[in-house]
Amino acid sequence: MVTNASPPSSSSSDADPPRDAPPIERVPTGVPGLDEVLGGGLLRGGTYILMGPPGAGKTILGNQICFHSVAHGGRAVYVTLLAESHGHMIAHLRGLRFFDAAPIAEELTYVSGYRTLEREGIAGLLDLLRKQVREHRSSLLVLDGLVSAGSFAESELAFKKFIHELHTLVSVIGCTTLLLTNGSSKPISPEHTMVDGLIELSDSPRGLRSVRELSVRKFRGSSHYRGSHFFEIGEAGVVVHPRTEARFGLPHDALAQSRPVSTGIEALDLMLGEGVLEGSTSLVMGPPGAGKTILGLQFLAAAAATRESALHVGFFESPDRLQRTSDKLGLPLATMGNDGLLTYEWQSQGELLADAIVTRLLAIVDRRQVRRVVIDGLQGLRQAIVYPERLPQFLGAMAAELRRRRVTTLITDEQTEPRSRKIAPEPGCASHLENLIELRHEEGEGAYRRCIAVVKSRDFAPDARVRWFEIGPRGIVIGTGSIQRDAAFAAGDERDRAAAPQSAEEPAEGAGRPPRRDGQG
Amino acid sequence: MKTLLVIDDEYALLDTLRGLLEDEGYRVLTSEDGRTGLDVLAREPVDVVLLDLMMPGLDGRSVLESIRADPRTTDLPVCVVSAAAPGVLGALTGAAAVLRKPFSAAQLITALELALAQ
Repeated sequence: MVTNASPPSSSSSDADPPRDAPPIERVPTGVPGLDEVLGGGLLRGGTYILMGPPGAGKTILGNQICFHSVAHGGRAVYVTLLAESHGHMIAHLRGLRFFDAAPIAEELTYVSGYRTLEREGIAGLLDLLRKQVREHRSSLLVLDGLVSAGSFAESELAFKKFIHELHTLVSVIGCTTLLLTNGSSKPISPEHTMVDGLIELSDSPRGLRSVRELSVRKFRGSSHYRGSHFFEIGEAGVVVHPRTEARFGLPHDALAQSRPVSTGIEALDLMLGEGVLEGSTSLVMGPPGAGKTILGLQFLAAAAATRESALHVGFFESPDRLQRTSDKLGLPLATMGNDGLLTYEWQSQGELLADAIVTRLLAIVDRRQVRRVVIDGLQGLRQAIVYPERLPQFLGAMAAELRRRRVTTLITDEQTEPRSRKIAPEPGCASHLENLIELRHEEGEGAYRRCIAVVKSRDFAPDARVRWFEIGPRGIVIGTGSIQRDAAFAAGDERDRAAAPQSAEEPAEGAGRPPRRDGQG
Repeated sequence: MKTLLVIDDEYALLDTLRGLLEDEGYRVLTSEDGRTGLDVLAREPVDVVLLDLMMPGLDGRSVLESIRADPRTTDLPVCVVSAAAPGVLGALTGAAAVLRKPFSAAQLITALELALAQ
């Protein structure tokens, strides 16, 4: 099955078709996430190198594209050179969900080209490929083992000529072609310049884990997502997780016409000004046990009043445990679940990928028309992001896409220094978030008590006073007065500030303590 | 001693099968494509053929049809090997036995014996 492509982007194509030419047809790969990275799929009749070290996933990817093609009316030929035997390759594929034995030897043919290459060189191989494509009326050709063909070329020029002639042949016939190769030691090989696209797979260690990454280094005729994207190989075959920042990079202001919505805690709504704006993202920071999860549950429960759909994305507490907590607090989450208004998306611990989490989250948002999301918590996304420096842009892109869908989001973030005055979001993250709410423990009135403060509210004029709160039988109850801090606790803060390096952002008076709206010192 | 002709485009498999089947007491001839295979059949007496289905040039189906159409080889037992689905293999006419890739040595021997018995 082929679909028509949108006009190519002038920023990334280096061979624009004439303006009066019809758009080049797309050939969807059927690989989850990959067609999005490619801007809709491969281009019909294009020649693409699929490059990566042994074990990177080239053979699975090549086969997966073949099986998708034949399942949608295409015909494919898979030609191997010095690769694993067809029988074993197919046996290894049988456990994958895309595998279907029915088209093999019918619409999907596997042949070996090595003997022809060995006896007749690359000219003979080209002749074999031409005949195979014509005899089988192929719309897709995979040549597995391009480096072997290169070994038989008399010169780089001869190899370039082979690629060029193959490229010409398949483009005229309209047979999309994948050339699988381990690559060469050179950063740029002659074949790279001849093809329409270059897709590179890697499998590299990152600390104790290994991550697979795919990058489109070249793609003529179409815009595509640049940079690296993680992918996984499992029962579904190859699944690509486009990088969230690449998917949702365009800015927009979907909040312009938004209405305020309740956090589920009336007193907090007043502290924020009028609650939070629909489509906004709020970060709730605090140490363990401060009440972040409960605040999140109350936020979700507020959706019950308007029969809106809600989603809890958690990393650390199971849905059963959250349900027990909400039952104890009398929150209507069980009823919401029974009515199909609440979904728990629990990310059980393991080697998660943040982009995959976002893809699943957005799929649930769209499928169930979710209006409220709680992500409990940011530390789970932080662990899944692989490259920590991505976090601000990742968070911004995710928040922007949720904003566009008018989903109001609350993210919890565990802070590990409860006594520090420097509870703050990850550097660079705050600018992407509409609201920052801080929970902490303070010593006051002879007891260690919880308190809450609105550090930032982008859309309303917040009440910045720090208030006590308790977790009662019905959840968080915020007191009306602001806290009066214990003198010994304040002295401890002074010692912390004296020990910390001086910063230009530190206020000259009160050494780092934000101004108190109630005048207390 | 029975003479076996193996026709398969995967040269590594051909070399492996040659060694294996010679150990089983067969005289083994090999061809890497259908056209060469038919040429061997035209000049050599063969007792059984092991025929791959998917090959460049003349594919296995065409070779099988040629074998059945030639009066000299119309009754020659042919064991077809392929990674194709059972339904595809089962629909083939003219094959004495079918063997799905990948196969074990024991399965291969059994299939050849079955073909020879017919």
